[in-house]
Amino acid sequence: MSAITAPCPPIPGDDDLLARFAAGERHALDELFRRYRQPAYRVAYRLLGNEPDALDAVQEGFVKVLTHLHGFQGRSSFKTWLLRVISNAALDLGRQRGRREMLSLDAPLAESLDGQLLKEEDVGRGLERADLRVLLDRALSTLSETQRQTFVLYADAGLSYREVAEAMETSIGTVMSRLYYARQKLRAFLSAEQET
Amino acid sequence: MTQQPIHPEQGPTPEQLAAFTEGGLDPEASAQVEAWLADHSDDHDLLPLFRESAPAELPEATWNATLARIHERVSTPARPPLRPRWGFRLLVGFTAAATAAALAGVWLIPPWLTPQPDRSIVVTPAPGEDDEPFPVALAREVNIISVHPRDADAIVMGAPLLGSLEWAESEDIEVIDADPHPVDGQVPWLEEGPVPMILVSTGDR
Repeated sequence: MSAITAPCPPIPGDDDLLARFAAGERHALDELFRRYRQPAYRVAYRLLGNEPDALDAVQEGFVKVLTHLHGFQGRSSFKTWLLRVISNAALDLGRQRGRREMLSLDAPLAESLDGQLLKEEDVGRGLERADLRVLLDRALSTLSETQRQTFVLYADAGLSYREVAEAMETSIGTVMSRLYYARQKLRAFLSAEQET
Repeated sequence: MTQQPIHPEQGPTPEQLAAFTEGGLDPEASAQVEAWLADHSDDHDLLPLFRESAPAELPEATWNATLARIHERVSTPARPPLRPRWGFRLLVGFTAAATAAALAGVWLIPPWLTPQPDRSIVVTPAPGEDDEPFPVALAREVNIISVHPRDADAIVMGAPLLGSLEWAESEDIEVIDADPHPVDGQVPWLEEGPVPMILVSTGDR
C-alpha cells in the first residue's frame, strides 16, 4: 500500500499578496488584514485609548497603504511600513480628537497606587487592566509624540530596534536613544505616581 | 566583510555596538546584537506592564466590519483633483483686472504729476540656495479658501506625503538632533523667531 501525500501549499509572502491585490484579487487583502490587524490595533489603541478610534485608525492606515502602493518601494517590509502609517494615522486622529486633553495630567487616577505596585506580580494582584491602561496612557502622554510612537511600536507592536528604525525611517542608534529617554520619562512618571 | 562574533556573556564590544547603531553590521551579527540587547534590556519592568494592559481581543464580527469598510474604500475610484471654484476663479480674475488697471493708470499719469521716487537703491535679496521651495502638493490639488497675509509667503505645495500637514511656527519646534543627509551631508536648520511653516508629519522626528 502506498500513501500519497499532497505538498502543503507555501504561505504567500507579503510581496506576493500585495502583487495579487494590485492585480485585483480581493482575497489577498483579506489575508494581509488578518495577518497584521492585531499589532496594528494594539498600536492604534495605545495611541488613542479607545476601540472606535483605534479601529478608525487601523482602517485609515490600511486604506492609505493600499491606495499608495506605488509609494512602497520595498525599502522596508510591508509590516513596518503599515505600522508606520497606522501609527501616524492614530497620532493624526488623536490630534483631531483631543487625545492629549483626554489624558491631561490633572485627571484623577482611577485607582490610587501604594507601595511597589508597578511590578508584574502586583499587576495581577491589584490593578485592573483598564486602570493600568489609564495609568500607562498618562505616562505615555508625558513623552513627545515621536518618543511615544517609537516606544509604542517597540513595546506594543513588538518590533525590533531594526524594524522600528525601518518604520520610523531613522537609524537604530536614534531609535535606541529615543527609547532610552522614553523609558526614563515613563519611569519618572510612574515613580511619582507611586509616591502620591 | 569578516566580523567578530558577539560574545554570548560579555555581549557586543563598544565597536560592535557602535557599528550596530550605525547599521554597519551584517544581518547575522546585527541579529546577534539585537538578541543580546533584548536579553539584557533594562525595560523588564516596563514591557510586562504594557503587555498586561494590551486591549482585549476583538470579536470576529468587528474585524469583518472593519475589513468590509476597507474593501469599500479601496475599491472606490479616487476623486478627481479638485478644481478651483468659480467664485475663486472670479476673485482671481477680478484681482488680476484691478491690478492691471492700477498699473495702466500709473503708466499713463505724466511723470511731473507723480512724486519723485526715493533715489536710494533698494536691493531685493536673491533667493539663496537654502531658500529653494520644498514642494509637497500640486497646485491643482489645493483649493485655497483664505490665507493670512503673514503666511502668504510660506505656502509650500507638493505631492502630499502619507502624513498630515500642520501649521506651526519655528518657536513650536525643538530640535533634539539632526542627522546630516546621507548623500550631500547637509543638515536641516530651523529659522529663528516666529516663522510660520508647514510641518510634514512623517513620524521620523
